[in-house]
Amino acid sequence: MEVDDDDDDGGGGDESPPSASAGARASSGASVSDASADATTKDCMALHVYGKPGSIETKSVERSSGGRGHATLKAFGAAHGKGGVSVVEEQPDGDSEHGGDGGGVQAGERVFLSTHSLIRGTYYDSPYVLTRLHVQPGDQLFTLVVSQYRRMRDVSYSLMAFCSSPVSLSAVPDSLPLVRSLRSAWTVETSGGNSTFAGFLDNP
Amino acid sequence: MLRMTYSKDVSAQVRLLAHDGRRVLSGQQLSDAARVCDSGPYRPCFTYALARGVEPGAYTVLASTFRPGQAFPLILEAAASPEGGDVSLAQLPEEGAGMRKMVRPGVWRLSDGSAAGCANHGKYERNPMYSLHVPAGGALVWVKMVARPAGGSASVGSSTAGGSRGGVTGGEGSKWPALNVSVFRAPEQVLGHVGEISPGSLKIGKAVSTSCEGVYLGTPHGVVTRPVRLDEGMYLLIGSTFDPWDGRFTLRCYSDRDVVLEPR
Repeated sequence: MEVDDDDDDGGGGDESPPSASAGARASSGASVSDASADATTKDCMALHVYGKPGSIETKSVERSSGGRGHATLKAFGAAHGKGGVSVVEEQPDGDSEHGGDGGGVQAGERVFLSTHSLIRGTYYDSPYVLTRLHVQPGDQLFTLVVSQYRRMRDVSYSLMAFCSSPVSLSAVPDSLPLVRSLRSAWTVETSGGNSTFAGFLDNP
Repeated sequence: MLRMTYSKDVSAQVRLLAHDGRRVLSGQQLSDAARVCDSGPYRPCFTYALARGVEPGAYTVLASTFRPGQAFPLILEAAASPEGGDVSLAQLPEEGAGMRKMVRPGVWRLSDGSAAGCANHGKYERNPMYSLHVPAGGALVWVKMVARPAGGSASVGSSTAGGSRGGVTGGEGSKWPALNVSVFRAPEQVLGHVGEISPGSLKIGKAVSTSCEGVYLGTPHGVVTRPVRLDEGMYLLIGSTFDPWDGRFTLRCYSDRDVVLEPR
């Protein structure tokens, strides 16, 4: 079963920090396991791929062999089934100071929003999903996000990467470990709206 | 990195401003405060803003909802890399916290001449005016004025501010008038509550305190006077637009002691 994934900008409301990220470097097989509870076919999952724009050939993901120094990298989670692959348009180079919608995050770092993916997986209740990348020549770094459609319960998974060139796969370290948080709220008085509203500066 | 988590029923944005960890009070302060980073388009549930190489110091975080009047809880997180040292996060008090606050809604009307514009139009003293009585011992006072475009509530927006990025759209695109609010020492003829104020007797250049050093500023976010300690006595408070403009405004007067603010 395919699940409609409508969490683009301003769209559906199910966006939340991804449950897991792993970095894959394409330069044999490598796998990362996360054991927790049982997986069943009721749980929908997808594999999203993030990386530098232009680091994969987006038009030839169906090809299985890589010529001219290209590497083919397959990544999938869990058991059998077919993988859904959706390729989004290449975004402008996101390495800007405005990091908002994922543009500021670099390949190999944790991803916080699902926008700006190189490959956006489709959510399936299949026990496994496959994503295939046709990697451009050179050392390329990707962030793979193993995403549940809804965070209903703990689900274990195995992530495997296969590549025609040497590849490594490891969990993404948290590069921002110092965290401070506070709870607050917008009230009717302090929710002032966006900057086109007179009350913008009344916001918390 | 600033991360903000909230309801999926509200769209929000977070931005980091170089404003020394102080609350941004006016349109001028907002335009002067450099935007270090923001979370881009308003989005539901979760958003984040990332900046690299942020210099040590105090910054201001502004968390806004797309539409006004939406009451929702939020969780704000500030995360930093280890080499940058620790971070701390604290909520700023509301505007004018710790001071007495008086709010006076007002209106400029072309029909009755109270939409008189600035002194260039020769009828400055016909603008809506308030008397401010400061008791013995004096008081520290500052004033903020926000225009409310005619025909709508405060929720009418425009495209004048920096909100156009990332799909922020305003209401009917009303033009915000250029504003000034000034505090004058009351002229002699006013003290006895008799007689009109003679034209030209109130000059912004001679105000005890005025917004933006007397410059009129067009902004949805209001203008403020610097806090000034006023001696005992009577003062006049005038809010004006640069050109005569039909619309409403809200005046907020903050003081550290009880003062009396009355329309004249």
